[in-house]
Amino acid sequence: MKLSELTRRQWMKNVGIGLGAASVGLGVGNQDAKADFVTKKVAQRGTEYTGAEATPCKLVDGKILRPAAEIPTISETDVLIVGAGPAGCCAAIAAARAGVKVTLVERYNHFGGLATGGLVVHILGHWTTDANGKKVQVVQGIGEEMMKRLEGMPNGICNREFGRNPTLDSEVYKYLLVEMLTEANVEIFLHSWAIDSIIDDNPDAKTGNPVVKGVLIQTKLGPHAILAKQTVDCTGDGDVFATCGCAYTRRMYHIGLPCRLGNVDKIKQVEGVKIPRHLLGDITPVKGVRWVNMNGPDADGLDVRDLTRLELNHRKQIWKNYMTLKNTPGCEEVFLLETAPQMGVRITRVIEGTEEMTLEDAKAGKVYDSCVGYGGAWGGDHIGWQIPYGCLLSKNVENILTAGRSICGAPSMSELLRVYPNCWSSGHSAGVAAAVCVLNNTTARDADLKEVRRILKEQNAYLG
Amino acid sequence: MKRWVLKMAIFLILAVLFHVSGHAPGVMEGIHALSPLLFLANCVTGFVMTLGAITVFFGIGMLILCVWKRRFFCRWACPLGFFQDVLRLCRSKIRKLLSIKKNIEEMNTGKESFSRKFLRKVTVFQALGRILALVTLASLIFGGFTFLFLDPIIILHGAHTLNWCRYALVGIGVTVLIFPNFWCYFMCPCGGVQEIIWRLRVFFIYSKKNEEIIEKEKISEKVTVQNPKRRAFFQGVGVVAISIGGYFLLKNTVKNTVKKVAEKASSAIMKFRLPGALPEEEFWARCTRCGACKGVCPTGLVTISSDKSEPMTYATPILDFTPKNTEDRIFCDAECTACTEICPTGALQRVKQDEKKNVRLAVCEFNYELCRRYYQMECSICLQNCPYEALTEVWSDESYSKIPVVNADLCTGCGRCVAFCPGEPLISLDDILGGDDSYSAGVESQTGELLETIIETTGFKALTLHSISE
Repeated sequence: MKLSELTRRQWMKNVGIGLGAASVGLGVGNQDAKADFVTKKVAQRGTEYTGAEATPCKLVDGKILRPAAEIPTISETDVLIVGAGPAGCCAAIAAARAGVKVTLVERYNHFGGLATGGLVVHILGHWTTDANGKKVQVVQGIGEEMMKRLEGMPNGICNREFGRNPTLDSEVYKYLLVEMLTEANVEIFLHSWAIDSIIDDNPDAKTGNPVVKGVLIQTKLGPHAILAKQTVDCTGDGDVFATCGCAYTRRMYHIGLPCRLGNVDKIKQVEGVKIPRHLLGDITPVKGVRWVNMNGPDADGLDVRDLTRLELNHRKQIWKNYMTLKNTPGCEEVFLLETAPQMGVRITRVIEGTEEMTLEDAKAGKVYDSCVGYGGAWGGDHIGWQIPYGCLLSKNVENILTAGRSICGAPSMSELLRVYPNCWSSGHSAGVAAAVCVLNNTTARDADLKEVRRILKEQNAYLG
Repeated sequence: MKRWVLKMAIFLILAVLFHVSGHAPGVMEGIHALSPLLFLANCVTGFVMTLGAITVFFGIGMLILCVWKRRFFCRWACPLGFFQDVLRLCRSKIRKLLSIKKNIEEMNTGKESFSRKFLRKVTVFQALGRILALVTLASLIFGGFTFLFLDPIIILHGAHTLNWCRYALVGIGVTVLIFPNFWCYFMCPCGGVQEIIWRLRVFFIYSKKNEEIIEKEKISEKVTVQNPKRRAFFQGVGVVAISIGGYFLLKNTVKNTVKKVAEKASSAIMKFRLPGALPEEEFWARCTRCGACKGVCPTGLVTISSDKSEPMTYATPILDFTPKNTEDRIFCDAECTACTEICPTGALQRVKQDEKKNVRLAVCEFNYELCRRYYQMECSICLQNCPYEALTEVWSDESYSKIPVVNADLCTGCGRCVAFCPGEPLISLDDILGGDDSYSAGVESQTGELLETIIETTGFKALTLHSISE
């Protein structure tokens, strides 16, 4: 239609549409880069794809061969944290607060790892007894901040008293982590499983070790690369450090499946009936809901055959216990609320660092020059121990750190290192250390520990 | 005056030594070798072979001195004697002050005091000390009850820590005030042994002086002097022959009799004896009830039996694993052999640190319904604390977890696992329904009130110790 023929109404309509289209276009354009790769390929409703772009593996002479391909990059970042469990979330928040760009990658749809999805809601190792017999809370810094914030949320946490080990609620913690991570402006990729590492073509000039440059994540749209200056493996299973050539040890340990029961407060004691107390688990912040731990048999937490077999057996065992409860007079109202969506794998891979923590050293109260964290025991001598930087660092690969249960420790020590306080503390330390390395442009090995400790203290961490 | 000074010096030196280093084995041995009774006891049992050279030197020296002079230890070295001398001094002063008419009358007329008359009449008392000494030495050979605990050095040393020694000192003090010389001359087995030594010397070593002594002391009024040398020789030979013959003849008979007595008093066999302890009957004989083992135990495990219904074992050391409060960790330390090193008579045989794993103190047993693994708690405390690797994990279908199991071949019953076991989570159903409980693998996170309940409640620990004899 010719311009001269435009009525005022039509003109207003066109401008309106134009503005609307522009704002939509700007809005789409202003969305964070992380959405781009999706929207670029998003199909219009009803469009068919022939699958002609597919590049499947080939079966050649009985061998399965994957065609070589260039992997697209989805993000470039300063500090990459792989795994959003307690360690990973602390690391991400700590690094972001230290002033670098942080990307967090998580295979499931929620944050908190075993703490939420795994229903390990009890915070052990919270208190130690120092040399004077005084009780000291070893968890400070970001871990304490999390617990404090949970206190302010309904049914967030219970038993937050001096000398008692608290229990949190998995659903509340999931949401708290959403809040804290978005506040910290961390770039997040959920539903992204880190499957491989990226190392630089040239090894490190000083040590000759391979240098980690990032990871490959598997998504529903195929593998994508995330490049980073420093990578922190918080998967707990060492999925990243295992694929980049780090020395590590692989261990078997018992694997369980926790569950939650509801309406436990409706149990009535019927005369002459023995209520199976050992099936009723332990307290949670929600009235009437208790969480039941499971020790389980020793197995390999990396082998899907073991994991599958255990999942099936564990569900049978949970059901059996549940039926026992249901058939006990007085306990009819109890119901099985939830079985953990994440398998209770406790120890799998442990990195070989430049320093190793042992139970004997911990009992002797060994003091490290390279101390960057502090943990506590949850039984026996109730001692605390220093966490040296060397057990977060790979001894033969550059720019990769680890935090959580996979830090370097002797078997008897790893048993004690896998609980919350050590994960929070080592995660906090790893995040700050990675940030400091980026800011000072050094490798992880050459981290300025004084600066790391200074920032940790600034962020209220407890270092013993 | 010289005697007085020497005894006081020895008393003070011993007092200081006991206080400063009474728990050092070398010092203990040396001091105890001063007493001829204890040294002879060790010779008779063969324990003298394990004693240090200086100790043996002291012991033999003292014996020689006792042969040379009558009751040398009593008169020159006994610290208890010094203590009594002081009391005797007080006694005479008190009597003078009180001016007891009777006694002054006696002193004036030369009549004997009632106490002296009485003691003279009761002639058996005159030999009581010697009888006690002989019975002691015989019991050490054959087994039975000994009176080593009446040795003055033992009483003085034990008074440092043990109540019964303090009462004995008070008792002796009181008798001195009433019947002077009662203890020394009539009761003390150490004095008795010295008397025996002296009389043997008199019989064996003939000299004109001995004849005079025999005459003077009226030891045997029927001694004729036809051929005193031959008589003395045959008497000596006779004594030796009878001793040796009697030993072999009676050894088994006496041993069997003692065993029968012991079986009757089977409850007297203590539940838990110390490492290196001899079998019960021998233990009762050799133990001097000095309490040194209790003093030297680092964990407070060794206690003194206060069960008066079992006189054979009263005041002997036993093991008591019960904690007195929640902080206590009472067990037998795998690195420690202190009690076996300090025992002066070998009631506790010496045990080397690497031999300790072969010593059986108790039998350790699980009650899995009290074990935290049964409650799906992740507790490994007993496994982490066993010094002998006697605990292993075994899968249990019922618990659906691995549970710790005791390997009886390696377990010594030291009690370390029991000491550290936090036990069944003592949470009542009311607490569960009320929602006020907490889950922990450490006793420290229970509330204060619950902690007290744990100590009072029996059987809360998953592990218990039983006597080996059960």
